[in-house]
Amino acid sequence: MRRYVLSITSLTVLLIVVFFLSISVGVVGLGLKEVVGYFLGATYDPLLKSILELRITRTLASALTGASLAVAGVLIQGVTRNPLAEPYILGISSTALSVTSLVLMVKPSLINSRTEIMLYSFLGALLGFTFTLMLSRLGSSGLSLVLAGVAVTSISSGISHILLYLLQSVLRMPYVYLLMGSVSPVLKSDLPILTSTSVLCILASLLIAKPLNAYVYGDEYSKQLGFNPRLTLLTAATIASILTGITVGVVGIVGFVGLASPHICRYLIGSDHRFSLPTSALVGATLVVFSDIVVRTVSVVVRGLGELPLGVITAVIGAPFLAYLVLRRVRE
Amino acid sequence: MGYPYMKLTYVASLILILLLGVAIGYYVAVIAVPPHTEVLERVVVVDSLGRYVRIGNVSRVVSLGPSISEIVFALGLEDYLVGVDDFSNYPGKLLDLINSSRVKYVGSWWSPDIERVVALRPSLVLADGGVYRQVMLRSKFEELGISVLYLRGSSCRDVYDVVSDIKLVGMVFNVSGRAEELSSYIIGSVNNISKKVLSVNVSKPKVLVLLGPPSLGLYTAGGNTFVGYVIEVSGGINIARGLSGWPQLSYEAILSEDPDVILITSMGDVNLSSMREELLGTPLSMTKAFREGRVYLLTGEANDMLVRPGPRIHLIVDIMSKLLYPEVFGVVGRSDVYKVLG
Repeated sequence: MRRYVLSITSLTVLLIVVFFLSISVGVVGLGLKEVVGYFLGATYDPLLKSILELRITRTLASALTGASLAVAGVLIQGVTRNPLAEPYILGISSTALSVTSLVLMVKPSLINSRTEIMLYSFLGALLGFTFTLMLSRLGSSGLSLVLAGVAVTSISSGISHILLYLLQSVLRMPYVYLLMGSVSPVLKSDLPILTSTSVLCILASLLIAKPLNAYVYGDEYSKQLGFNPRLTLLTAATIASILTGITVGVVGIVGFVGLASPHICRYLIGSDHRFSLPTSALVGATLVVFSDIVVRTVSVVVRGLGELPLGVITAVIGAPFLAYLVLRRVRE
Repeated sequence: MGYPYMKLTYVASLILILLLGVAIGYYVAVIAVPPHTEVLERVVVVDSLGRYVRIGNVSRVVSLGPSISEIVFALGLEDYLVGVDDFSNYPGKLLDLINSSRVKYVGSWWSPDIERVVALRPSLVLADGGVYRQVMLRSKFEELGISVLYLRGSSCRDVYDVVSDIKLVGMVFNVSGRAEELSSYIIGSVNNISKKVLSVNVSKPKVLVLLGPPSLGLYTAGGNTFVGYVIEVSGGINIARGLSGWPQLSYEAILSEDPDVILITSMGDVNLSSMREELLGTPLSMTKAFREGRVYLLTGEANDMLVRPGPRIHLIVDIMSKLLYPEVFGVVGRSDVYKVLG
């Protein structure tokens, strides 16, 4: 218990530090005084105000994305009883891409309307999850869910790649860019959707924490404790898909956070979901906010690269850390 | 045991509440109104995305595309320029302005850094409507209250598209006279060449354009691209004219078409002998172009002019016509166009 309190406090402090760091770092350097002053209602000239708004939007979007994906990761890893699972295996990312590219092919002018594209991505993600559910016969077991997810991901991945290839001549750009998530186009007006969904879902996941604890030991064990394993599976998977779907809609595909954050937080405080869910959220948020800082720093320092995709940086940062944790565990 | 959260109704209502949360968030977002900056209207124009853009007084301009920067200079508007994308490199005066820090870089052309744009306090951003990431940033610009005008930019296909961009910029900066002059000159030059080509008594040469050396993949330009247009108007037959976009060809397809002229574009450093060796090692050495020594490498400015639809279009059409019909138009005497063989 003490370990948990220690971890939670230090992670919260770390997140706050990284949050403020993210708002100060950039082409126009902002001191801590100005950042805090903004929150306290001080007025600034329009340029400073614009830059601050830009950064706060990005940072909030990064934090919420990280938290959502991390919690989704914990839920998926619990529900499939598989430490290698990550949020996109339930057929979410590829189907979202397929639906979006199909819609763009039918009506290319939709590229102008961000809200509609976001909605289609989100619906596509949920559609992918629905197919997975249908294929696994409403989650008859964790294994069937994973296999169904793999099947749906493969099919829709193929479809999405074909559609994206065809879309190249419509959009006049190499299609790989559509695959990469980025926080920079996120609008202030997108934040209410992201916040409300993420917060509600993360709170809901806490309610499923105890049943999930029992679930990971097996169906029989879970039934003996009075829980319904099938219902646990369904609820957890649905919450995870909504969380992942909303991030795919608002930010795009950001890999690795959903895989690494649960492991990092499990290393810190063990596998009790009542603790690992909120801790993982903090870990994920910190990871993605920090990655966004790196993205922006690289863009300022290195000429000609433009803004790197967020998923690349999360992998580059997260992977060595994860490797270090694995090595430590292996040595024990 | 009465664990309430395991009852189906409970779970179902939970999920309903979650989706309600999404719906509420969406509703709030949709009715959230972006800030309306009051702009003293001087002119209202329609940009390439079909938006009505109200332009007030413009003092600081950021260009997000290399062809757009060229248009700005061509119309003599360089005093307004405060920022360009990383790819902008023409004319030489632009590089001077950058070196003296009067003009700053704002990030790459296919992914501009919005913060660097904002930091320059622009009164107008001239964006490239042909770049997906730039079009995606449209709502962000509007939310920040920055005036942004989308030109056709890299999505220009022919000389008339380029001229429409030039005239739009002219309208915005109140130099329509200059824009009109430049446009007529460019159209006139291009039409002169294409007319002369039509009257030539030689069969049209078949042209293969390779974007980059063969080792990168045999990427060519389809009929609906700017490169395809340049070939067409200079009197060539693009062997990829039936394809669209930037497809990859196979050696078989190329050999069955047997092009008369091969043009290779290259962005970076040029090593003529290694290029020659590389080409000799590929099936391209069996084409008619090779046997007649009509293989050319376009680098530097020539390369830029071919892949970038801009106000130098008449220059690249001139170069292309010379490459395709040297007996009519003369030989190309530029240092950035290399004859790979012989």
